[in-house]
Amino acid sequence: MPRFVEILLCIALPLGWGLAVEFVFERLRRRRASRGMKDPGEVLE
Amino acid sequence: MTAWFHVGSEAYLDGAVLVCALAGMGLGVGVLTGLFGVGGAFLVTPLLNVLFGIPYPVAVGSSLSFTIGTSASGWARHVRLRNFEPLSMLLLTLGAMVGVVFGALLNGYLKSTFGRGGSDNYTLVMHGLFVAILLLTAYMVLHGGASARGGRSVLQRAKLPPHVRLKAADLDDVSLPGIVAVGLLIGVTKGLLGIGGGVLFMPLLVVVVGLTAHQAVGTSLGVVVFSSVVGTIVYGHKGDVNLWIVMSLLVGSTVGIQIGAWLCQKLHARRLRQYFAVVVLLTAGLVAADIARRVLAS
Repeated sequence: MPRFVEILLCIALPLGWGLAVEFVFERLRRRRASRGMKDPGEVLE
Repeated sequence: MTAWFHVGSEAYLDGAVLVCALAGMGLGVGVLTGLFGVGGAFLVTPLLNVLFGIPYPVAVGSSLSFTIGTSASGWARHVRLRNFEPLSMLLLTLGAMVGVVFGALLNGYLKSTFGRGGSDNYTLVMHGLFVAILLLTAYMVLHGGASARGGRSVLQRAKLPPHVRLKAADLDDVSLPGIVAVGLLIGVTKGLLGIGGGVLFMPLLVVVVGLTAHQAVGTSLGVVVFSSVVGTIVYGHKGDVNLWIVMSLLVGSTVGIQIGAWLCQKLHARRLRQYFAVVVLLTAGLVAADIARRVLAS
């Protein structure tokens, strides 16, 4: 595998993973909020 | 020895057990992230070396790539909440991008100077730097978060023209070269040690630049994302980033963050600081013990 593809993967995969995780948990937070449940993430902010 | 995927010159990952162990470490670091709101890269880099025997250049490169994932997630959230200052983030990022390259060069210099002929001295120097960073982190955690003291910030008082206005933070006359210099410092540390520096640099952004604590978190995360990308390119170019290490840590930390956030609700805030300091001091002790082991063995 060419080095630049490896470097690209080393950037794109963690970035994609991080953004996907945030996307999923944001949806879960909104769902919980719409049900009137407390957001555990609020504690951290 | 079979390497599933490696960018480095040697194959470290030759079994599912090692990948699971890395995911386990990621889980532990993730719990700390969820509990204390820190990235945990300052623990990841030395522990990769001490616990798994991964050479420092690969540990630093992989830690930088890992930081992209953890900080991108946090930054996306803070951007949505508008917890960042765009101009200072841009200037800090420019400084940090250059700094990361210098830091990586410095790391290469240390390796070529102290690691000549397979010598252990390079690892000892890096261990020493991490013990110092970890002790400083523990000190800063135990002595409370810094807050902007009334009046003007350090960079507002600095006589280093030109001065800019940070509109989102409502700060006038902030020294532009000063902001870039802070970014440069963050970048050099990142490039040299692969740490995110949330605990160390947050006070710098609050006291020296003058941002509020919330803006400092969002701004710092943005700087970390972009400078980590540059760091990953520099280390990846030398073949010192291992995607298996990065993704194992990321998967573990994603689960750990949720556990940490849940635990966070159960613990008292002041106790949290003390627990965090204990974890940091234990890690410093582990690295110091490895220094002693290597010195005695030689």
